[in-house]
Amino acid sequence: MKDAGGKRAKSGEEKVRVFGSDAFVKRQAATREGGGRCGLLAVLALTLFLAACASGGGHGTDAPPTSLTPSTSQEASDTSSASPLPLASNAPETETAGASTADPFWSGGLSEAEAEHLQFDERDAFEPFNRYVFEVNLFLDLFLLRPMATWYAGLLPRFARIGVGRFFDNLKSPVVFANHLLQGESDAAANTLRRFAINSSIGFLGFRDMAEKRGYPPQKTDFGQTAGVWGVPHGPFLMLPLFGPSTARDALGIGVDAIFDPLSYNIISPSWILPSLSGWRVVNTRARYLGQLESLYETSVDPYASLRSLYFQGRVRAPVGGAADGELDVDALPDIDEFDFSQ
Amino acid sequence: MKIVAKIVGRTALALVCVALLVAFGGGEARAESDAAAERYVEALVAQAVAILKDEEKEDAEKQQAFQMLLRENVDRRRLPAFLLGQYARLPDDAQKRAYLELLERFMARIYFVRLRDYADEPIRVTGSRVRKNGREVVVVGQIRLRGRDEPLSLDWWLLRQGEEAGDGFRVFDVRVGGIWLAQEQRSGFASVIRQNQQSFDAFLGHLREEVGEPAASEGGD
Repeated sequence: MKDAGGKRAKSGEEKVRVFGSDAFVKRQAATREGGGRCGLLAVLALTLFLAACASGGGHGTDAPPTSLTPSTSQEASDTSSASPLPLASNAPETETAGASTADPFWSGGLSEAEAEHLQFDERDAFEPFNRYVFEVNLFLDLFLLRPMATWYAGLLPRFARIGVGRFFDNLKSPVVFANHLLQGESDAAANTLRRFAINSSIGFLGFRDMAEKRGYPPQKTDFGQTAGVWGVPHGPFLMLPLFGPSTARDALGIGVDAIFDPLSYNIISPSWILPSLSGWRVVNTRARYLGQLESLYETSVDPYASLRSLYFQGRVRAPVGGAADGELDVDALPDIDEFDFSQ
Repeated sequence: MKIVAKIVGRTALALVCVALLVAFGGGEARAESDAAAERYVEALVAQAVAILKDEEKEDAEKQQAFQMLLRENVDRRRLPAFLLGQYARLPDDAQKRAYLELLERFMARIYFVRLRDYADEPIRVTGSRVRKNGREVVVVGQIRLRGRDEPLSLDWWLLRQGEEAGDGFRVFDVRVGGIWLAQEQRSGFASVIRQNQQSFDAFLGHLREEVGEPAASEGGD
């Protein structure tokens, strides 16, 4: 019985408990803010929030999932670099009859995406460590970030927080611009440049998105996606301290994006201004997703595994430079005919 | 004159080819839509919203009503097996029955919790796409959330029921902002089973805990 990663054995019972799924969640749920929450979207919201926490590196985004690089049109997909791997590489030693991942009942329904998802889940090479970091992040969120975000959300009306989010998005334009160039997307880079010019001027430093109204939609990207365009595989799933879910490639991207992020350079006097802006960005982003983390923990049998799945679906599986919720190819969905309990 | 006739002839041939491509090839390139599936989803959303916005009911009653709605509209053949993924053949018949009963309550709970914050958000069905097998339809839509500039995609993966099942549709999965929720839950299920040395009883115990069933009733069924 594993104890690592928040799973605890109960004496005499083969049963697990996910740390935080009881007392933590109930405590969280009891203090949930009223009205205006978007619980269901724990999915992308969480991914985006945690990515946005990495804003020091410009890796994440404060924008809704739909605005994630909607039209950068990179054809290279992460899936192309995912070579088939042996399934159940992390499977326990005790195999129960019929439960092997080599079971035709299962493999018959595997689409390419399914196989990749399964590999991503089962090849979580650093799972014990990742789960530990996940618990630490939960703790920090519960006692530090969430209270601050709750207070902040009560202080600033929603429309103002949206404007602040846009302001920080605008500040990240150099990161987006550089990555579009590195990806060879000159049109997207030009679009970003125009957006920056328009929003920084008549958009009141980006608080209003005047560029989109003029036909220049937001197109976000980061170095993790640039590396994907270059053919770098994602590597193992990582749960980064403070930054949240990532992969080896995306973690590298956080560092590289920091080079282009204006908030990385403390060149403005007085010196407390830029660090304060970075903190403001994190709190503003967290405030946007208040209630969603709680919803995820409350409705998942294993929040860590759910988060890993969300990251896979929203980031790893999504086309490089494209949005996770882009055009859906219905015929690429898994073949579910094999799954039938009535047989 | 001969040259002109040749050009005209080739042009006509090319036009015929294009017409044939449009007539027969275009159908494959673009999945057909299904108006009945779209109407089904619109009606389902309306029912769910009515339950969630019913101010005369307590949360427990709403959840009960939600469970009834799911029982009538969520696929009960393939989805439970799909959620177990590679462990779908692990349970024996008794464990399957216990699992199906617990799963229904678990799903009612999670969808109630996840959807209750959306009761006031406008959901719009924008179209549908039929898979090549003709039995499955994905209805696409949007939800416009307060505090967001752009609407979020919301899709329903439906299974067309046969005559013996009373026709109509059943929901297999829901995709929110690009994330399939059943796939997300399946990762959690697989993780719990794997970390319990593939003991299905342990997994059932965990599900019971999730739906708030007293520990005394735990067992291997």
